Amino acid sequence: MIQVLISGLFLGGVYALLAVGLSLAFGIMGVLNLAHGSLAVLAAILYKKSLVFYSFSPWTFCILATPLFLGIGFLLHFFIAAPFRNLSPPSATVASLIASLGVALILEDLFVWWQGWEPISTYIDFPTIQLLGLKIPGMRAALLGMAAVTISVCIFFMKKTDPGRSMRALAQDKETASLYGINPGITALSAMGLAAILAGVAGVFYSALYPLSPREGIDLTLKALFIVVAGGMGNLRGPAVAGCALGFIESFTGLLFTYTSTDIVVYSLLVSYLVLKRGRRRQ
Amino acid sequence: MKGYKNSALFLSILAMSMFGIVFASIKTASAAPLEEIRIGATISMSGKFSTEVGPFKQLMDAYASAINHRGGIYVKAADKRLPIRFIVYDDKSDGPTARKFYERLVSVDKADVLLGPYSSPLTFAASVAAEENRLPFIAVCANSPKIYNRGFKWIVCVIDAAPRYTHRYWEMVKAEGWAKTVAFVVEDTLHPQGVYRGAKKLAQDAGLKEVALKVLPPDTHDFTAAIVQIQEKSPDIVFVSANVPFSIAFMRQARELGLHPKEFHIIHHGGVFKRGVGTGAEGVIGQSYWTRGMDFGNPDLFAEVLDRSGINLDDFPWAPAYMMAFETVTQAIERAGSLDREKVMTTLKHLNVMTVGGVVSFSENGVGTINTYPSQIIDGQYHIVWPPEIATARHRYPALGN
Amino acid sequence: MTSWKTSLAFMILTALALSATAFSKGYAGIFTFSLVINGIMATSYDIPGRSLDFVSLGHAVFFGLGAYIFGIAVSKGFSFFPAFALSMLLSSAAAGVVILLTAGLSHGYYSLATLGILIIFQRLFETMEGISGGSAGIYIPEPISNFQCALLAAFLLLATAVGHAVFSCSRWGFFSMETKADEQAAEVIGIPTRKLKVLCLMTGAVPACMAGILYLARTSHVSPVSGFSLTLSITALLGSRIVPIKGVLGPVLGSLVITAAEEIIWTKFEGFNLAWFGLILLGAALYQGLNFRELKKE
Repeated sequence: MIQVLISGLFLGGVYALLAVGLSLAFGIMGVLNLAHGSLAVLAAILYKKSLVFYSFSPWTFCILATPLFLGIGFLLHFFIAAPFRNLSPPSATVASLIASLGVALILEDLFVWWQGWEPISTYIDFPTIQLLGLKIPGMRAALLGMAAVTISVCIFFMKKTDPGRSMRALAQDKETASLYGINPGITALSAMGLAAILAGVAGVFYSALYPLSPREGIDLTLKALFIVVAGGMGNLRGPAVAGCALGFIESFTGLLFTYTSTDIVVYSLLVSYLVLKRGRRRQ
Repeated sequence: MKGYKNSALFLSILAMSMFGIVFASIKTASAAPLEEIRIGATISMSGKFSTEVGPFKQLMDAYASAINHRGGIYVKAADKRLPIRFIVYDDKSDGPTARKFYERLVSVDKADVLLGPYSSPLTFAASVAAEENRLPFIAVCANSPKIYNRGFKWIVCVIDAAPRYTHRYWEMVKAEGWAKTVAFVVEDTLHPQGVYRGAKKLAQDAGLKEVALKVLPPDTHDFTAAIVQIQEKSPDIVFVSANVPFSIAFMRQARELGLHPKEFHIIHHGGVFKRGVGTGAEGVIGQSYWTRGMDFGNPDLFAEVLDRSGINLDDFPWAPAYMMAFETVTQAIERAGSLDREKVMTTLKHLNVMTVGGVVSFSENGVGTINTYPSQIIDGQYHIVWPPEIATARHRYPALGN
Repeated sequence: MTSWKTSLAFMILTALALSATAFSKGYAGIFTFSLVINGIMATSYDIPGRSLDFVSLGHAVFFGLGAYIFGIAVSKGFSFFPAFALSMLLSSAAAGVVILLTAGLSHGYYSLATLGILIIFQRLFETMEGISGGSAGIYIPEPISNFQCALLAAFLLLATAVGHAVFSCSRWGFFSMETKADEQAAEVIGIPTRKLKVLCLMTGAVPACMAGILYLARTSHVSPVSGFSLTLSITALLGSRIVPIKGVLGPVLGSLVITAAEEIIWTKFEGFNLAWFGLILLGAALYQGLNFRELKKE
């Protein structure tokens, strides 16, 4: 039971990392960014390519690639968010969804052309640690730790720095935030940059644990989208907790019921949660 | 307001022009007979199967150029050798799309014969188009019995039915006599389920007891619960009937959590699996259609096709099955001496031809004879380990990786 | 202003319906049939999609329900019309339950809940192998001829478009515009917003259920992945929203563009098919952004 609990935590850590970046884009700009998972795939490919030249650890690579992903986030902003800022919020969401789907499809073909058809896998054999009769896979534990550090740094950034506070303000009320002198354009640009960095970190970690198909970007995004809604949009702590919860539920469903019922249980819980949460809001 | 009206008009004209272009382009290919042999197929160049067969259009083109370089295929009715041409579409790993493109291959491209798409679900959908239009359809990597139990008359498949996929492995286990128990881990999709159902019976016939069965969805990420429950049963063999990404994820976690049966059998343990698992792949046994050193049919032609296509056999272990399908088509047309559908289909039904993977013939419902051989990863290389007359190395158990 | 667009839409629809029935065989038949199905899905999606700004990622739930219930009925020995009537009834009832669950959700939550429900149905029908054929799906012999199927599909397309136009012009259409603009204000002035949403979503769901039935009757095969298909849901969304024109003309032109673009790219281009399609989507989205800005300036 405890072994399954630990594994659920490892899985949840990866989900949480994927979701927090998406939460920023969705919450702050109303952008349903279907290309978020594609950025994760891009990071995994870049990491795999970099291993030919030097054996970077996943975390070293993530630190080195941060400026690159910040730039990619800025670039993406000009295609999937900036052109729609004058539309009404639901129309902007639909337009950004169509634009980001377009970007995701373009990237899919470019990934295959660049790195081939093979799943991206950057697995490193790490020794398994034996602790109180439990087996803790070294690589998974290290990556979970790094995911926790990454999310903590982001939460600190959002809470204690001016750009972070601006992002939170924008997520809560765009018009009032503008009245207080926050520049929505620059803040949204920064949020997209930060989201891209988080997607990159998630992609590198994911490929170190699971094989990742170059065409899996949209699937990753959809999984993350659910966590975002369960955890709340525009904040980081909620999706982080929801990601871990999803990992636990997936692992425990396999133990308590049958594995084939996992998705039915997970999605039924999430839909029920959405329906009830909305019900509470109305009351 | 005027701008809006202009924009709406512009979009209307644009949309209707696009539709007009498409509709006008749906005209049938010229019916000039006996100038070339058109072989229609779809390949999953995008979607979930793309990592397994994405570049196989290159394999088809390479085969066509190799055969055309030799002058083509002799067709008696034309009294000359005709070049072959593959007409290939991307089915997006999607059944309805595959079905649609097979209709196009039949009615627009006027294909003379069809090669099936990759996987049982797609073949299940696509073969309906061939049946309705009465055109020979040669399935390649699709061995779920559900496809062949529908009473279709225009379908054959080069490979044996899924339940017999691993029969040589169980023959070996029975002959060696070291294993008493087996645990099954099964991906919940058509082909792995079909292979499992056969393996379950074959294992029983070989005197093994099934101690655990775990059926899991294809996108499972965490296998801990299954691994812990299998560990408690201490099986001699852990048999994983799954596609490649699933197998990689399972095997990594099994190694990390210290699951050590005497042998891991992973039905698809090709190069992608080997690289994905790293040193943990050592000693794993699986199934292969062909390895270098096997001497059936024309291995030199296959080597030439692989070279021309740039496809690495370790990465795409299904390439030999496609090669056998190409050889089957070639032989069927040559022996029929015509591109007449009825003649080609009748010839196919009674065909008995040697290919790189052995003799291909078909049973009444269309299922073929080609089957896989158990092959083990020994010192990073694939070796056929059974039957003894074909084996390139001795079977090692308990496996080296353990 | 609206009349020329509606007239044009119905002219195109009539042409489409005539082509669908004239070319019921061969590849032209398959192509026009898929165009008609896309048209039905986009137009039915557009009813709640445009009038209430609901972004559904699970419109194919209704399509899959219709197809599966029809398939199960036919495989149990029902002939076409009783099976059609039964599946219409049951799938509409199931759609009603889904809608009652989700109609109260706000926009973002609604999108995600519909996606979740789509996945739940996909997995349910994969699991219930005894009834649904599991992941292989259901294969049925052709219950009616291709011509009859094309005729029914063409009629359904026209009926959906008429339903769309009638809904937009009715008082419920005006209610929906009020609700879209400000839900709280709409409630204050006495508009029954929940009833409106349920009615609007049901009007969109029923044609999708019927499209599923006709799809299975024409293609003989449905599986959980092809019935409860995310791709189909997104195609309906794109068909409804890719052309920024209000009224029934928008989804009609949208489904023409999407189906024609896919056909051209996947049959005429060698490689990079997804990238070309992605470029079209990106271009269409950016056009919407630019077009809106220019309209604002005017």
